[in-house]
Amino acid sequence: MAHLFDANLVRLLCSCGLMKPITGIYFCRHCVKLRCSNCVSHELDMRYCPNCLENMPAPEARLKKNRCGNCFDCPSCGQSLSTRLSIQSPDPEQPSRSIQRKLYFLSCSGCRWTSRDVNIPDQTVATGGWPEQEPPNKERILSLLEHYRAVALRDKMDRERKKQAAARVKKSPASFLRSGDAGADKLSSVSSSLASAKKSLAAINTYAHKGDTPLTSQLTPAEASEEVEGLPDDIFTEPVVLAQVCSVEQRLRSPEQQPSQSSSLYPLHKHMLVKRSLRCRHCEHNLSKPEYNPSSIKFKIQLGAYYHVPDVRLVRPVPLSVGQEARVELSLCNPTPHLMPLALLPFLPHLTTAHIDAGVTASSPGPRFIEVPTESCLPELCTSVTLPQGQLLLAPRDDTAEYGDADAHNSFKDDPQVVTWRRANKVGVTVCVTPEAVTDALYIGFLLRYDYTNNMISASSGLSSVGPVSLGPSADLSSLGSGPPSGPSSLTPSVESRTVTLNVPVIIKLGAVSASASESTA
Amino acid sequence: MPLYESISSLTLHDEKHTTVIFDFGSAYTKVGFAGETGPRAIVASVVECPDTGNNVPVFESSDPQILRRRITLFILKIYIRCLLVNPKERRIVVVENLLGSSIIKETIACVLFRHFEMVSVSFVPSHLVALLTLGVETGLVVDIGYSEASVIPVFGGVAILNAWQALPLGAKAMQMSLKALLEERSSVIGEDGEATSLQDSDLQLLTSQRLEDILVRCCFVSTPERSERLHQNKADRSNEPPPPPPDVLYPLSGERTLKISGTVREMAAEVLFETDADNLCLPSIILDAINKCPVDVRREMTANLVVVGGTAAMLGLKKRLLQELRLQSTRGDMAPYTFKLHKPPVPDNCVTWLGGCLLGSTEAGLAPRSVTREQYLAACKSNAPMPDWSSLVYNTQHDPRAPA
Repeated sequence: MAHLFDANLVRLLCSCGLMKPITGIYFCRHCVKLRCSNCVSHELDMRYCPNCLENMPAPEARLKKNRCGNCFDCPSCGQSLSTRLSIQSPDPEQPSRSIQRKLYFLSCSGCRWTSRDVNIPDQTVATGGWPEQEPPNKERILSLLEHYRAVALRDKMDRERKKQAAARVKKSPASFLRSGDAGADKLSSVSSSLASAKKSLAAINTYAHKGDTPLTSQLTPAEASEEVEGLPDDIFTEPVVLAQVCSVEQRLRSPEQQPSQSSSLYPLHKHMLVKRSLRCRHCEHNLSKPEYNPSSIKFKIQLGAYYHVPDVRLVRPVPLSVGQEARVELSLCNPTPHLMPLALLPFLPHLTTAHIDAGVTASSPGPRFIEVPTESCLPELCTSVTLPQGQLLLAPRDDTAEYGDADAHNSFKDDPQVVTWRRANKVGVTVCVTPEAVTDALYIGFLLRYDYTNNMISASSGLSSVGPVSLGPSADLSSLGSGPPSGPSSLTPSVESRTVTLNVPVIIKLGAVSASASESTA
Repeated sequence: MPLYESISSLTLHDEKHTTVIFDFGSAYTKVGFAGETGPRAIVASVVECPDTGNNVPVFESSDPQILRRRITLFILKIYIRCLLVNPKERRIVVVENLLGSSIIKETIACVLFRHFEMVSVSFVPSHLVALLTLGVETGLVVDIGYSEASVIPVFGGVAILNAWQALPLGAKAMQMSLKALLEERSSVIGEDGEATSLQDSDLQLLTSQRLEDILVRCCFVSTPERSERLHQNKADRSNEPPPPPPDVLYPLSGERTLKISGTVREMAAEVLFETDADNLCLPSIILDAINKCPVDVRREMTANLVVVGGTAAMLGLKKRLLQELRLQSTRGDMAPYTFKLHKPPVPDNCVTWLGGCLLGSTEAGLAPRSVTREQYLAACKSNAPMPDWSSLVYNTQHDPRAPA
């Protein structure tokens, strides 16, 4: 039964050209197109600590380098550290003091590392006050930063001065007339450029950040030395205790210190996590937006394809052998509350890619819109596939259907050649596949053409029922008909309901093809 | 809520101006923000392959499409897991190896501009910016990374490009050498306490990560005298080898323990100093680079050696390198130079990142060196989006002899 839930067996072709399972695809209702994580823009909504579920505003996060102030990770194994309490018994040397003191230390329940291992003193308050580690050579790096800031500023001023001087010489007609006494002209231009430099200097000084960017920064350059630290003396005699030498992972957890001995490990502040929202690049509408609360796993907006695109699943895996026709049973499920006419059409990759390209040029993007390059990752598709002919209707999704009498299938006049079974909003269809060669994985593809009823709450009332819009790859394939009657326009004028015909390419991985089975049975 | 509004608008303004610094390496990528003293994170340059679910190296693909997809996933992962800021509308500094592949550079630019809509991207040469961290303008920069070691002399802030040297000597070469040595000279202790030679199943357990771990935790670079005696012993077993350092028991799996012999610990890094078929090794390419420099600058080069890159942090490597340089320079017909080494203010693997950070921290310094999105999109039509020193189009532009 695992194949029913293996999302990677049945994949949809996104509008950007990538194949993704239906769980990894979004459906933009405004562009009426499939989108995936490759072709949407990701935005970070909020940061929160995964341990205390406290959310942290952006300025604070920047100040604390995206780390939680209260929670710690084990520097040795990466688990969360817990605060432990130890009661200090009265000092034996001073029996007169009988007050017990509570002391706290950090301990890892995973690898038994404690803050006492590295001689961090116990704290008297549970919430912290743990000593922080300063990056080595911090002063030097900050002075370097200051220095290069000043150098760059000086550079910029020099450039501007040159530009101004050049412009002045070009502009003034007098410079042409007095070209004979170039010396005087040069002098005047120099002096004037000096004046302008002074002016710009003053301007910078007033706007400079707290005025602490001096224009002349003196930095002592580093001195090279003839001697470097070599091997420790005892390396050829002392055995290595692996537990005392940090692994690469442990070192890189604190990039600025990179401790090499486990005795210099230090508790790490817990790194924050983010909630992110996704936005369609074309229409700038949100495709997914989580709720603001860190402990909530719900979404405010979630336009996953599994709410809007019929779900195709492989009912059971079939043994495949070369030259022998196999009947592959698929189930189709309608997730929308509307009647859905549907047909399976042969999938012609070159037509679809042309369609993608046409869509790119046809859509009128904004001025600052940049197209993500289209991908092409289609596998080799089996060519001899017989798809069920004709159109079939999928009943609307009805959550009460499984409690009532299942006589819904009577109302549909199904062609038994096409529909093998029908239950509530699902139908089963059979696809005949004749593999041609031995492969590890046989892929079949088809175009799922269905009528999608889009309910959108629009601000402008009045315009409502719109006829079918064909988004098909080629014009000769006529649309499936008008579909269900469009939403009653008189009842709710604010809800715009329109039916469009969509084509979604579906690629199914069928499994390995064996060679000799046909001969052995024949 | 006027108070909150003012705060949020302020931070939005500030946040947009924080430049992000990337230093993509073939094994580890360093990322962080401008104006800080060190990178925020050092992450392995691997992404999960969407098709197979295995971790695959990001930059090891020659197919531009696969490369682009991996880099996109990787940068997205960095933004979501490490940087936690909106990727859009930012200035970026990418520290690049001058000798790196142009396909990777073009693809990074494409991903940053098209997928993440950055304001501007600036590619800065890693060897050049490494000197910024020292406050000097002249030096011979040796970058020993994962896949290769490259040497570029820099004089007065200008790279002497015709003196470049590179060899595929780095952590990767050491890992391969270590694996061969382990196979030859080490044993595995099984559940029953019996020591046997390495089986195929044990070799499968020696993944790149594990070899790296063994190199970092157990191995070191030996002294020249011991190395000489080891090599003599290797050539002729009658020569007495130096007393080996103690063995290390390294757990491979639940029941298998690798016994790393002391000789392996000290021999693994010898690959950097053994001459190859072209008679080249790490010290010799450094001397070659010095010899290719103009004669007036050679003395300054030898007095300002800068060794950077993750592999340079190996125990004893810098000392051995200096000793070998002094030794080999006396053998040839070189003038007697004094060799001096700089000590950067940050760990060796972050030096080039810090250099990019120093350059990216200032708007005035960054703006003239970056390519904006508009420029990139306009240049895309002319089929040469990113300026590249190896392209004649950009080299003849400022040449006074070239026709305008």
